[in-house]
Amino acid sequence: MASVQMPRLSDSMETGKILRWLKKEGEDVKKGEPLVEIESDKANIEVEAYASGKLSKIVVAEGESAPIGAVIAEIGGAAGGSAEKPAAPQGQAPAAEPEQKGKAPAAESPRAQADKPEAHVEQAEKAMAKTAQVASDAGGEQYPHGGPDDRTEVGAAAQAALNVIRRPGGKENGERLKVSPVARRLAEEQNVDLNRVKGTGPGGRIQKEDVEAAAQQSTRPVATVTREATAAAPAPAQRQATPRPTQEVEVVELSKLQTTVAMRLAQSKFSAPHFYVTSEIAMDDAVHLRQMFNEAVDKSEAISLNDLIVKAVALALTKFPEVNASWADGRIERKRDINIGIAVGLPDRLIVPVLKNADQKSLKEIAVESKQLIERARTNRAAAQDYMGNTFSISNLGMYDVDQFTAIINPPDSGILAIGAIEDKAVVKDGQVIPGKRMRVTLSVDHRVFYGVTAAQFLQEVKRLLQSPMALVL
Amino acid sequence: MAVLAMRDALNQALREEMKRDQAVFLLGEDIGLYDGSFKVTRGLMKEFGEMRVLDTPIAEEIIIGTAIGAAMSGLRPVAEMMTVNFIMVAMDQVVNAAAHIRYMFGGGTKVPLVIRTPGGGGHQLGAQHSHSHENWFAHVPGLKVVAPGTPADAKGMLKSAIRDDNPVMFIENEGTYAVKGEVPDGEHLVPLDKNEVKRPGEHITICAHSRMLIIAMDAAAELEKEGISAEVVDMRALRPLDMAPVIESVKKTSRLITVEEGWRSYGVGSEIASRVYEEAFDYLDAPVARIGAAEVPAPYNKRLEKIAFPGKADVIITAKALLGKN
Repeated sequence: MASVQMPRLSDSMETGKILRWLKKEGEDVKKGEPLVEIESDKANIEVEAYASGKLSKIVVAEGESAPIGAVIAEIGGAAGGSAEKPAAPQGQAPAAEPEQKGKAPAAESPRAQADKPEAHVEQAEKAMAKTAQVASDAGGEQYPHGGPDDRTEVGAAAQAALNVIRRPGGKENGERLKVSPVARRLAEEQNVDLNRVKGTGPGGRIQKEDVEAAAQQSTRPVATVTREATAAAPAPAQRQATPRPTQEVEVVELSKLQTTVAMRLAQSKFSAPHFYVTSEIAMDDAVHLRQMFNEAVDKSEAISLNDLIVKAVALALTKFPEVNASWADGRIERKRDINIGIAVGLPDRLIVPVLKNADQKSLKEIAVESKQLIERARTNRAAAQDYMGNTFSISNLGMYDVDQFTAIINPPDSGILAIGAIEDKAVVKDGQVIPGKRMRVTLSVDHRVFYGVTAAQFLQEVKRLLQSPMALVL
Repeated sequence: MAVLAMRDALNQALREEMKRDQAVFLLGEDIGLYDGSFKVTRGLMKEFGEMRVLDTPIAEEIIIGTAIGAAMSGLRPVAEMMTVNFIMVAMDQVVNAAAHIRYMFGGGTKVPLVIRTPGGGGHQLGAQHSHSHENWFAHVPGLKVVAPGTPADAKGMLKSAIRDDNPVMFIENEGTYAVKGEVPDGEHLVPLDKNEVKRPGEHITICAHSRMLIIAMDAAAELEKEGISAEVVDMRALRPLDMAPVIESVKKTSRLITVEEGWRSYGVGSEIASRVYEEAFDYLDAPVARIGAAEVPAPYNKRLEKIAFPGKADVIITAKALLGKN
């Protein structure tokens, strides 16, 4: 049993009209014999049977139309009644059939064809129809030519355009800031400093929206940080806008602690000549060590990266007594004890609890003690001595995704180490680019107490310890 | 207003102009007895006779040359090239004669000629039958070049082209002849030098003409579902190139994609991009993205052909990339 479908007779055809059935229902038909005459949008075409058998049913009557692919007739079984026999062997192809009836053009002599200009047209159309039917038979293909626009992946056509749009590259040292023309114009109009705008376009290009967002940001009211900080793993800060003051300014009174902090920081910054030294430290091993350590101990004894840094700094200070010192009215005081101040930011204040004799404590002790210290400070239960005796301080903003920053020395110290975030970076090792974890630290130094080379060497020692962190456990 | 296929809209324009003006006649291969390879001239030989619908030999240079002579003598010929790929042998007539004559004669004669010819691929017809070359003609002063993408524009622009006193390259597309659309009855004229926004939008501008206009409209409809509002500008008037709606649109959206069915290099999109850089540089938020055919002779293989010509997916993915959404 074979279905005869409405063939696609031209590329633009959608439906075809049955002009004439050349066989009657019940009549035998041989593969290749003209079966039906169809009107397409281009011409009237005789369509041959593509299977042999009895024309068991005509589905679409003469004068009616049907879309491409619709069944227009059924041919059941082979000619002569032997059902389901495959198509007639090649030797019986219709061209060789002597008993072909009707006045099919193929029956005309070549000479007759040459005399009739329409004949070649008809033949060409027939060939086209055959191509269409063969394609259709081959796999029910609806679109023998080209097909519908069903591609979902990008083709060659857009690849070149995409290559331009997605061209990689970011801002490198000394490289020109990437700014789209419209962003540059808007920034000028709205007085936005492009150096402060983060580009979200391809390759970090600053786009229109980025400038618009920055312009909006700068006109927002002053916001306060309402989130509670922990040294371990704070959630990303949620900034909430405070209501606008009804008058021109809102006067905020300082607490006693805030006044003290303000005074001491101003005194430090304006009396101690600061200079800054930055270093990048490979933290791969330290991160790994912390992981191994925390797998081995109870959760209450788990160490943070900050604990590792405290330990490394404390050990480095044992080798650099000139760093563990204070400016004291025209003289330098070197300290016997190594007490590390750990800056803790709270919503309304800045506190620096002090971890005493950090060089003599194990990592575990540092972890447990600093956790208690910070907790006491956070809950306002800290004793006065918790804040006293610092000889060197650490300020860590790594958990806030800060790359690097400079801190103000916490008096009476002569140095403070500012810790940035650990970043996953492509690094070059032995000529290979590999993934690495890098952290930037910046040492602020009171230039009166020690100098650049000492600062650099001290940083080198901190770096060495963090890069070979087994030294911190021993 | 009737809904007509593009081929029937063109047929209507030809019939109306032939009725209106005795000087209008058609010539080309298979356009009479066979009703035209794409049935655009269906029934016209029967209606107007063999004097006004001429079946010619397969000799493009002679077709165009004859048409130019007829035009210079006061007739208004509409010559059909079966596809734009076959016009190569007649390029001397098109460029050196049709485009230049009016200038070389100091305006003493004119060439009111229309050359209708389809470009476009995607039908597995191989490299010699599948290309789009409108950019070649749009390069030449003295020619007008139009490429409508809707049946209404096809009718209106063909009528305007026949009435124009200059040689007009009227570029059709094999893939659009069956595309249907509403077509105003009777006297409907669309200017040859005005492009227009076919779909308004906010976030990105897409320029396209002919079949690519349809692709662009489809892509815009899908982008809309994803919250991207694309403005589609129909670039039906290629020479003279009407940039006004594009510039206006880019000033609003700051991002532009050009889509054409021909090759990208030295293409329609290249010209549009240059004009935008000249006239709207300070409004751009990203480089202009040009989509065109792959830089190869059109492949015959069906799968290769599919990725060689621009499709909806190319426009959608490029639009998202320009907006940083993928």
